[in-house]
Amino acid sequence: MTTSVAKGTGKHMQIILNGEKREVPGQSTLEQIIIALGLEKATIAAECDGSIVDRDQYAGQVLSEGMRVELIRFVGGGAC
Amino acid sequence: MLTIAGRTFRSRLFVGTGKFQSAAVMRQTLEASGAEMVTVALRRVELDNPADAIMQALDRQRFFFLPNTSGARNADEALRLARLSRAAGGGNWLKLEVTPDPRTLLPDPVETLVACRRLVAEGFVVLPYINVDPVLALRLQDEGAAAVMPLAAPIGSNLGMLDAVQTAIIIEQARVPVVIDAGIGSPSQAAAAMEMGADAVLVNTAIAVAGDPLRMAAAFAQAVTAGRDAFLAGLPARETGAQASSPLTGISPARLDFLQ
Repeated sequence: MTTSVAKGTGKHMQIILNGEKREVPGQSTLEQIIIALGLEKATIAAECDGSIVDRDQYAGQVLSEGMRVELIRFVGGGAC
Repeated sequence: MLTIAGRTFRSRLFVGTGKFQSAAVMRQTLEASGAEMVTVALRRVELDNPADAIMQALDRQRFFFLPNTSGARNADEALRLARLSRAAGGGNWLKLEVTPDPRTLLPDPVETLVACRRLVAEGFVVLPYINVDPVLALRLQDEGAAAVMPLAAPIGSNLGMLDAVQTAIIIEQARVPVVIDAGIGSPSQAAAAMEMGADAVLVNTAIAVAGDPLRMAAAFAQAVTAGRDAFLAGLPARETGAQASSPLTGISPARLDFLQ
């Protein structure tokens, strides 16, 4: 499934967001993706190509074609 | 009061936050349990359902989060989850779980030891989930584990403590708190663990899937308190034969003569 998560103009690119292919506007930042999903920045963690991006760096993290982005959050859990 | 890594807890019942019907039931149940320490897991944001129910449902001032590394199959994955947990605002406490086999969900002792060493070096407060291995428990304490969490029985099995002999050795040797984790299916099982001298128990399934989770949470809270009090009071030694509790002295032989 390929869907757009961030509105914008101009050339689009494909990223792998939480394992799913997503079309996003070229030059999107991590922050724009997070805002487009309606996520609360304070309660998630993000990785780009396997490296954690600090919360205060979201706006400056420009995504690129094929980048693997992981957005992680806490869920209910006891063990395993 | 229970102290782990300098932090004190009044309640010795830790509660997992999985398997609840709803966030509202979870919150009410945790309040009924009196628990201060609650475990949480880390997962991908569901892109089609991005609401973060647990962070909205739980007051972090009231409930201390113990994020786990559930899903990790080796030390590297546990490290990755730990760093993500810290980045997500989960703090630096961690229930270290490394479970390579999804069928048994038993912890890998070698990878757990390696992960504990690396996590302690990165400043994490590590509470490793382990099998009932007294030698491993000591080795993890040598590596700086803040507590050890031996399982009672396989996770979700509700079987209660399967190896009380080895668990007793872990408790007897421990220099850090011992939290009995996984497989506790009833308040009596929790009480039995506390009577042995465990410092705390972690319960999730038995509370979350109960017909009345609030009532079950309260039952576990009472059981943990009762078991702890019994341990502190000092339990009597077990005997193989009968030991009269009524006095046997002062009985005149003549009183029994009517039987002759």
